[in-house]
Amino acid sequence: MKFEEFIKSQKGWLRGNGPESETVFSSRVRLARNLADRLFPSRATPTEKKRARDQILSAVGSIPHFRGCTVLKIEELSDIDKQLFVESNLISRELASKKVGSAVVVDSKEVVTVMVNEEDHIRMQALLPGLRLTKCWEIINDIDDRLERKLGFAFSPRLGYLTACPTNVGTGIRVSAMLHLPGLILSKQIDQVLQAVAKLHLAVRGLYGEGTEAFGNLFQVSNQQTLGKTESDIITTLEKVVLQVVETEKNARKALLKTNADVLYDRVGRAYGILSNAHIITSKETIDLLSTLRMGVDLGIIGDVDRQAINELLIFTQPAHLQRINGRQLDAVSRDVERGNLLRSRLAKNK
Amino acid sequence: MLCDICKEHIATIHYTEVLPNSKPKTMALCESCAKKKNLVAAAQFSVADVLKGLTEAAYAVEESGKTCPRCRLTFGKFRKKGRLGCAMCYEAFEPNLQPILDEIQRDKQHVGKVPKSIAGQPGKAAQLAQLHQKLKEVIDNEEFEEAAVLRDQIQAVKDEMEGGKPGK
Repeated sequence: MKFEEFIKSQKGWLRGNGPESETVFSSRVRLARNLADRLFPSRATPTEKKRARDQILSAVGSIPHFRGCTVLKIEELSDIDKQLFVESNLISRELASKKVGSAVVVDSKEVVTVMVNEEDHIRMQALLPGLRLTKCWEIINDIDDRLERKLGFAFSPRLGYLTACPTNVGTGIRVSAMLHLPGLILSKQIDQVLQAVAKLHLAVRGLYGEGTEAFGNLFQVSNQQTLGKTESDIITTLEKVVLQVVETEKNARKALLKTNADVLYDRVGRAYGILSNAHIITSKETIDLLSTLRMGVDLGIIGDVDRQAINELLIFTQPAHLQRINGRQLDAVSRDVERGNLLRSRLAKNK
Repeated sequence: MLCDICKEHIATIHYTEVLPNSKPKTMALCESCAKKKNLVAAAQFSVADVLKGLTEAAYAVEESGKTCPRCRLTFGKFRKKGRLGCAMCYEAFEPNLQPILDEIQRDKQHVGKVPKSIAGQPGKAAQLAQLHQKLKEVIDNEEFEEAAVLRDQIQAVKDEMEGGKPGK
């Protein structure tokens, strides 16, 4: 697929469907792998990195799953396009910061991405909308089997798959779910729930914003331990915990509807009103209001906006996307204006 | 129920110890005694904190200039950057890396997926990984008698693998 078509295409995980999609935006399973006979990216020279990349890209290209995939080499991407892929969650910030020898492969369905020469030689992930961790694992496990046959990964019987950072050694797996928790925030139960999750040795962080201040009520829950547990154990544990959080969120929303319906309707209505009428709007305000609007849609308070439209707006209103859509560089002030234009036109279409 | 060790605080953690050649022992502990036995890991930590916190052993190595023979990374540089340079680093820095791994991972032995190319071989390494996987299962099912047997088998395989090496 050509790059221009690719950035316009629908991102698979934005569809907003799948089990528990009212609370779980997306599920992700990532594996870290390294070639046994080459130095890890941080120690490799540019030439060695390119050799490793050629070897990996050729192995990836031979797998049927990647027919019609998009291959992007880091040297060929402009800064704004790197930023764009970070905003779409297709590549990591770390990969975007690389100068030479790195690459990313995205399959035609935009479910699987393989990052080459990030922190490790290979970071492959499957990303699906809704709570579908096991499905993500099945997809990525199969790709891992096929790549391993061609590449030969660094592995020790005691420590498992050897990774550049000891936080990934063993299974090399990071399992995560992106959760939308406005009910728990409004009912002030969020700290309690997040602390309980942290006690189970799972990591929780806000998707946007720094530290504990999460914009848009979006949180990512992931496993920390990668050594001494099987992949299915790690997935089952995370899934159980996520389901519990989902249940608490559902109850919080129900309770709010019962006891504070007027306040809830007011918030949602105001969010919708500002988003579809504002002319100057910051990224943070947009994310927060889109979160409230999304909750309104999930609760049936707003009927004429679909989830995919909201998910897309969450991504498209970010800086690099706005500049790509407008086809020019924009400073912060102009971005706020263009963001307002985009929101008004998109949300007006839904009326 | 009071803690089996201090007999003062309420026991909140129940754990079963399986040692080689002995019957499994179940204990009920309070949180502070459990911490003393290293059963409760800190809920939140950052890798940088862990790496910084474990500097004493690391400094000794930095001074002695311990270097990975393959990628020439020094342990001091790893400590600064948090990234290993190649597959051999794990072996080269083993004594100093182990405390860091213990802090981060809470377990010592890989029990997950094994590459097919290794699993297919009848080698000791694959056998060991499989035994560990079984051990995990029986512990999860609370079959502690069976766990004790497996623990001994694992030790036997390890001894065979390290056959002749002094110290262990």
